[in-house]
Amino acid sequence: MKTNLPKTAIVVLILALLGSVWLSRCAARDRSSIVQPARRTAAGFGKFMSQLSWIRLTQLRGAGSAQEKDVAAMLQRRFETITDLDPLFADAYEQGAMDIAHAAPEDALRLLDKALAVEKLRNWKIPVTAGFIAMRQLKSADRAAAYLEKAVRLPDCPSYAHRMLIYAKAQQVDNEPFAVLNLWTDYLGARERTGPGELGAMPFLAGAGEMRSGEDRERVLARVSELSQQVIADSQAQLAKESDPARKTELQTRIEQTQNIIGLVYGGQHICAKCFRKYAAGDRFCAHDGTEVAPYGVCPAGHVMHGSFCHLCGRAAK
Amino acid sequence: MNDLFTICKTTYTRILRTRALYLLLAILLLIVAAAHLYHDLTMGREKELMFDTGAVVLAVVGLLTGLVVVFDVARDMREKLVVTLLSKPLGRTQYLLGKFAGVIWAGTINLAILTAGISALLYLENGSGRPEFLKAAFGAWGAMVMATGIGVLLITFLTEIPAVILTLLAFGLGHATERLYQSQWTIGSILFGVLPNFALLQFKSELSNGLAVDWSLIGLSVAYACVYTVALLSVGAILFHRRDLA
Amino acid sequence: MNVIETTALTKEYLVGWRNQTRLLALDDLNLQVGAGKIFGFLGPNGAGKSTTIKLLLGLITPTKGTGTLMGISIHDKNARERVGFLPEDPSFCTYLRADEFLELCGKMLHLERAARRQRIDELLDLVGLAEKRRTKIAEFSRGMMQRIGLAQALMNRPDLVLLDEPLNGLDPYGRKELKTILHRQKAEGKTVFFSSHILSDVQEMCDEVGILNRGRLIAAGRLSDLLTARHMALSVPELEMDTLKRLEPLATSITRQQQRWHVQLKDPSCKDEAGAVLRQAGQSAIEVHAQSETLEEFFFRRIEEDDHERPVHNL
Repeated sequence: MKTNLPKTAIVVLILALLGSVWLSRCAARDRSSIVQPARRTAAGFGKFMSQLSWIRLTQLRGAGSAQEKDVAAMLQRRFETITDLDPLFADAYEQGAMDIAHAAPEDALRLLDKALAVEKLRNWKIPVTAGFIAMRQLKSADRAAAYLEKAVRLPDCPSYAHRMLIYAKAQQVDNEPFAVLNLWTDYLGARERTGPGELGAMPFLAGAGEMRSGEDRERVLARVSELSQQVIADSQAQLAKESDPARKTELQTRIEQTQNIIGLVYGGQHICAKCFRKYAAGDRFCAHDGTEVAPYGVCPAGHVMHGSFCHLCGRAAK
Repeated sequence: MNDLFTICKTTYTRILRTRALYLLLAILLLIVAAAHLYHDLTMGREKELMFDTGAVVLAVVGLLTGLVVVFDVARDMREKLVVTLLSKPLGRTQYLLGKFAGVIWAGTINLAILTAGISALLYLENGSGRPEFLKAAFGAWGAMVMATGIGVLLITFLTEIPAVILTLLAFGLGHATERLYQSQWTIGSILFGVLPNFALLQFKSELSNGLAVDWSLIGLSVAYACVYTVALLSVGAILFHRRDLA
Repeated sequence: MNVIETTALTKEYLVGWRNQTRLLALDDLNLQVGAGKIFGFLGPNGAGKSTTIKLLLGLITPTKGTGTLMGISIHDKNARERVGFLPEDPSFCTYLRADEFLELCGKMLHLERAARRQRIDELLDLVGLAEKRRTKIAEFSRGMMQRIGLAQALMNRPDLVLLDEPLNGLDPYGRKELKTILHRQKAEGKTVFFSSHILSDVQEMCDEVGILNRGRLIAAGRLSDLLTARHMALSVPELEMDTLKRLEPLATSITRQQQRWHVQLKDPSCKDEAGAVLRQAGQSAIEVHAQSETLEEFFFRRIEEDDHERPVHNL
């Protein structure tokens, strides 16, 4: 016995199915640019389960020393689970890698590589941690530099990551002073470099001159001064012993370039001729090495001036 | 339409007269609030935990709403109330849609209460509002609509326990369907559109981790859930039309 | 126009392992019920009485055949607009109060608010639940459930009231009240169709009956037409010995009661012969007493005959 089929329902069904197929594909396409799919399906509760696993793991992390291989292996498994459930869980990658780095540095780096493969996870801590582990545990300047190169491109990356990169690159050139000097100079955003470009352009130049604090800049300037002094001293010593004219020319050029760098870096500021450190107004001797320096900012009586006229004797500057 | 509204209102009234419901909502809010105490155990991530717990609570309530419709219709059939109702000039489709609408109405109110409560808790915890939680709430609402549609479809031809089990299975497996997506038109991509896809409504991880999720994507996903549910209800209406009810 | 009319209405179920067994619940039912009657639908358990009612209400789908309620196909929900139904062992919205439940029924019957409210008051008074109007149905006893069920069945003053085993669960007072209500329905020109297996009540109330056995309608019609004379007796004031002897072969007993001779005939067909013998003996004041079979006797007889014609095949 045939009953009346709800024809309207069939028509609605077909239209709705077509509509849902289209809408689902549109949503999936738009979603792919925003959402990071989890490696483990947990019926939509992956994020929450990763939190619960994190709470449990917090208790386990104190259960034994992560320096022991079996403890490190246990921690690694759990961190892998957490990050499979929530690929965007940045702290899990970072802290997990640090926990197991001593016992299993390669596994730690593998964990961090997993994080770096997550496009949506743009967290500078991941590559910085990887660079740190590569440098300290694996003693690999090349791998450290590769990670830190990625770190300095990420937003909010702190200045110490830049300095870590320079240290890594310095190790790549066996800490040769002139090469290292050029690295630091580039970091300061020097407008002009006259040295050979064997190390390649530093990608973070733009805006890298904006130090987070005055302390950062002073520290870097001190390093530049120190290296400059070392380069000039070494070059002058070699120049005295060198007989080859070509080599002599090269050394002389190096000295000039270093002096040029000092000039560019300090740009008209009062610096000691020997150690290239700044000295303050009224100073007669360099505070770092005792070398006599030409005082500035003093009146004819030798008082430090605070303005155009001396506040003690009323005279203008020398 | 009036008949549909009558069934809807009766269903909604029955659900809201259940005292256990308010106890459940209160307990769920307490569970979310308890995340505040987990500062040490989460190593300073109690704020994220509270957000995630809140999002999960909404998802669970949405899923339970889908099961409520299974139990409700099954009870009507078991107690032969459906016989009394359908002996009146009430169409079977109107009955089914009325049940669906009533359950969704009650579920929406539950979700609204929870969203307001959890948002307040997040505000107290963070010192400022977290408007992205509202996006998670919309996603949960879409999932609730779809889960309820699946429940309605299954109860039209299954008994209570199999319908509940399959609804739960559909919810679970529906989060894996997104792996079938391909940009080209293949069998897998067609299945992707035909099978329920709850993953499209999940934004918990992204919102909790501070990624920007546009309202247009939320709207698109919820629209998908609504249109897919229409398809489910159509199939349910066809099956229910031919079912012997007594 | 018949209030209920079915043509070859059949319902077959597929049961058992992999639905391989066919169970014929209703077989080719042709039934007509006119207006303004009380129709009793009888049958043993499992005969198909409830199946018939459910088919008429569209609760189950027929395998074959058609049916109409007041001229409207049973597949059209509008056919139920003027029908009231009380199911067997009714269960209603237990979370609602009595008045709320009737309010719900009234809305589904598309009654206006004022008419609805008035009708609720009337029905609660009619079924004796006026004091329980604000009591939740969950707290009702079985008898009260039956009463509220009757109230919802009469909500829209239906032209046809279908009742499935309505007397179940009622005490004697309840049964009496129900019978009164149903008679009142008939007096108002409504049709009452109810199934029952309490034959005495059916015989007392119904104008017409239908008997169902294993899905087939084996008898239907007016009670007076269906119930044949079973016993016949002739009584005369005087009876002589030779007349008595001539009557002996035709009678099971000849007795004298209350100053008359009663001749209990062996078979009603002997009436003419016995009457001729008495008239030949000069008797004129012959009283004929016919005793019909009861509905119960008719019911068992027809069932037995049908079982004989259609033997039961036990699996």
